[in-house]
Amino acid sequence: MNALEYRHITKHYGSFCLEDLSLQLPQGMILGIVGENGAGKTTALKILLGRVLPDEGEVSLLGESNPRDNKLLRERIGTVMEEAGLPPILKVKEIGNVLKRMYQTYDEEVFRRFTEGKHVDMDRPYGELSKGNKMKVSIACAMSHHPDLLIFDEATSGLDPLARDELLDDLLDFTRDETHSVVLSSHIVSDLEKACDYIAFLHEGKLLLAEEKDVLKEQYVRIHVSNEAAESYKSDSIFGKRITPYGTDLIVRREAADEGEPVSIEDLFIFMARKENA
Amino acid sequence: MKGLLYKDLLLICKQHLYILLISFLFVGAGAVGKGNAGLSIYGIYFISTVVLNLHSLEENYHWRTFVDSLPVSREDYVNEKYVLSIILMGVAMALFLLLSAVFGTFSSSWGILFLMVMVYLISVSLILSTEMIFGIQGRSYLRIVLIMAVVLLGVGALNYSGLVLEQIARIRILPAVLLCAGVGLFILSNRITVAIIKKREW
Repeated sequence: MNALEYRHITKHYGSFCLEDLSLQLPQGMILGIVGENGAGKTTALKILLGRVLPDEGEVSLLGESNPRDNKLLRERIGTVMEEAGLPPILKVKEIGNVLKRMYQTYDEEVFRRFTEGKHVDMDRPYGELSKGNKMKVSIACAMSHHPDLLIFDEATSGLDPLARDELLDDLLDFTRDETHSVVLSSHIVSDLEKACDYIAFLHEGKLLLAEEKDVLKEQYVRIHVSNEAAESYKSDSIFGKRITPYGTDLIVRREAADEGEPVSIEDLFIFMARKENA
Repeated sequence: MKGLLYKDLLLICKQHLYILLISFLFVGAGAVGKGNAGLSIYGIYFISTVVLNLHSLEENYHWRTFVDSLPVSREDYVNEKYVLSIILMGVAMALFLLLSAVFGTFSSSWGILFLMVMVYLISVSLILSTEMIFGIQGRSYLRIVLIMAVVLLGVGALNYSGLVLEQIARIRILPAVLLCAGVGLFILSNRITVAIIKKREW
């Protein structure tokens, strides 16, 4: 069963358009959505949550086709968005008390593990916490009711490297249960590379690529050749190209090159976005 | 909905100094006001300021985006605000009765209480629907101020033109009819707000 599915989603916002997005994530997997600012990552996630209605197409979330105003579905989802939306004058423990009255499956112990257990002062008002600690509280809110699906929008961006690493470990731990899935959007591609099973590239509202991370990394290599040598590669084997004063950097299909460096997801995204812009 | 209500009541308790200040206005009104109608103006002021202040705070910290991740429907979100305003109305009425007794201004006519509830319901209906549909910040704030000004001027005019409110209260059936009209407007305002908020994207 798929944890989520976008089917031909289109959404217009003034001059911006999220165009014919089709994507799916099997249960038990982590999907990373990569894209520059304004690529449509947040819009795609809002559509998934039913906050924004698509102009065309439909989404399915944990088998439910209508996520908007679906209370039972929300019991099974944990979200962290860029705007946390938590009252700044409430203490962290009071936020836990509010959630206790919201979720049937709220677990105080889990909330404390992700707050107190990560050195967040429970007696401090949320508004007085550092950016990183605020994010930890948001993550605790998302985790505290034992969700089946986590949706994180730029959740790692406010965290220091150690806290980011801990979060990614928590996500990997979360998906050990094969019914649990995660969608993670970020422009910090290294984070996604570490945790995700599937990668989707969004660029200016278009889905450029959606593939298993390991397949992507196996399929392509990065090579550095002279400008003349670069011309000898067939265009259909070239994934991306960057001309520098010292030669040409190419990302090509593994079978087209005798040798090459392993390619990173960041390289793949940057080269692909440049190719698209060109 | 109980979680939403708990959160709002918690936030109101956190602002106890502000609430005390408003309550002092009540006391002031009791001391210098002219009869029951004088106090009723401050009752409306009490409910309006608490509700508007809560809503303004919510807009600042983007509460709606968080609500949309909770197992709460948009209808619950709107209804909770209306239920809260009823609770605040109860508090305002209790304060009114207490202060009326303290200052010896309580009218023997129960009709005045019906009229007060009607005036509260009309004010709350206008204020809640306007602030939830249009928002409270920026230019929308002007709308709230205008509505409040109209309501306060209306009640104030009744108060200072020979306590007309108390005269109306003496006409037997009229207060009950006006109360029903207030309840009707309150329900209508709630249904319109729910219908509009359900369609909103945020």
